[in-house]
Amino acid sequence: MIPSPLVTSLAVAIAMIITLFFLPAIIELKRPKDAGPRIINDNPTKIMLSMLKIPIIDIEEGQKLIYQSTIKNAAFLYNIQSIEF
Amino acid sequence: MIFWILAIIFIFLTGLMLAYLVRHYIFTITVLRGANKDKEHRGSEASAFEPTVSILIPARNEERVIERLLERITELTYPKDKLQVIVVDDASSDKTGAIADDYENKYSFIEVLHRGKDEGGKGKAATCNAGLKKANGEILLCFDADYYPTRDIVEKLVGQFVDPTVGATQGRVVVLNEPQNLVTRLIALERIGGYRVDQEARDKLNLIAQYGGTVGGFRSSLLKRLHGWDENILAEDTDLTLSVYLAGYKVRYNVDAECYEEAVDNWKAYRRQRYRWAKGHMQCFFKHFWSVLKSKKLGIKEKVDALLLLNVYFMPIVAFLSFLTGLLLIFFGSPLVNLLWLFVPICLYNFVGNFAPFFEIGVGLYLDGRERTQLLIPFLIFTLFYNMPICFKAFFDVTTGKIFRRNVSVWVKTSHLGNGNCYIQNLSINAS
Repeated sequence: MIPSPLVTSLAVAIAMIITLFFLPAIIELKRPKDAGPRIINDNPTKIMLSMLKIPIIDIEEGQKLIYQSTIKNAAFLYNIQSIEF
Repeated sequence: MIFWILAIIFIFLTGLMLAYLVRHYIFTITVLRGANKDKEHRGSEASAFEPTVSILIPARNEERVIERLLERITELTYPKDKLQVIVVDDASSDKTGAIADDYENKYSFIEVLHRGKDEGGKGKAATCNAGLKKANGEILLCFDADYYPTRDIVEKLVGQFVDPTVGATQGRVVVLNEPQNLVTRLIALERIGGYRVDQEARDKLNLIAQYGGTVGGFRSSLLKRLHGWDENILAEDTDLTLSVYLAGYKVRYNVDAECYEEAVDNWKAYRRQRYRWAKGHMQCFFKHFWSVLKSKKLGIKEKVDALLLLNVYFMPIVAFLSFLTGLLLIFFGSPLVNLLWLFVPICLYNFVGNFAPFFEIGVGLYLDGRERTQLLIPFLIFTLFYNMPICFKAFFDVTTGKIFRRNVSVWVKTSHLGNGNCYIQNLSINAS
């Protein structure tokens, strides 16, 4: 018995949908590339800051200043090195 | 005549499903639009306000997980002089009581309440009520023994109570043992949809944010006024949520207050847990339906959301019945089916997953930066079909219980095997 074109195309469509939906799902299940659950907000720096009651924004500003002064110091030291005695 | 009755039923059921579809789309779009806006604001609120806090830990045969939680409690950043931790050992037959006693001896802020075999084993609500009598904090938080909170969770939960209209608070639940197997992975997806999107949207839209029974708490004075937990209701969390709103207060949700849970890891335990939730939710529906409708303290928006929340475990039944009536209408040669048949599958896709639709879960994963896990979403179709008979059985048991006045509130405790312990190290590694 030869199936009608309608039945064949329906069967192919269903098989394709199942493959498209479930094949990537099975692959991800068997070999997960996601690292799994993670602590999203338990940041040690933030914890320390909250214990010391220091607003995070101040620290960020402070870090920027330290970063800028470190670059200035590095440039100064580089210039000193290049001075010939 | 039969045709018209069927047609009215079909339109009603499809309309109900459509209402949920629209509701979930609104939730998803709300969270997507407002992502990351208020995070810093919430943190600053938390550091300024430090009331006394009692943490309640109901525990029955939890020897494999209780130490993990108690150790974590000692690491909390909240001032210990404002903290009272009450472990309620509910007639455990294992070492739970002894482990808790050790911590009581070592730390002055930890207290243990032992319940004997005659008074214990009557469910979580009864255990919590025993703890409530001992609690003296202005705020009362509740953690299940298998949970593992972030260290600053108390500040984040308690910070919500700055607003005097807040009666209860809820934090985010994340599955700890997600990589364990297919069941834990699917539960993790449901949790992400439910807590990253659904609860967050309800909070933002000032609808009915839900107290989830753990990782949350109450203003102690309000909880005592409400006479604590209702011991005849299996979903004591949903019951209290509604009671808080009906008393004129609200529940606030804080997505940053994260806590890690050990999810059930097999289908049998999943079925038992969902059956209990479904039954409890249906009990709440019968208890609160008219009070919600008649309440003068709830606005129209809140009433609609409360009714949709109470009705949620009836939805797999509704989905099944709409299919059935649709089929019968085809049998009767109704032109109505030709017009509406597409609505049923469209609406049905809204219930893929445990009532957190897959687009909510997909968006939740996106917001958590876990796009790769979105590939697992098609598997959630199995949980929908798995939930259908569970909800049918719960519905049958609750309604027959009401008709024949049988007590259906038998608490079946979920066992925790400590399978999450090996993933705790991973949390910090993945975070860095």
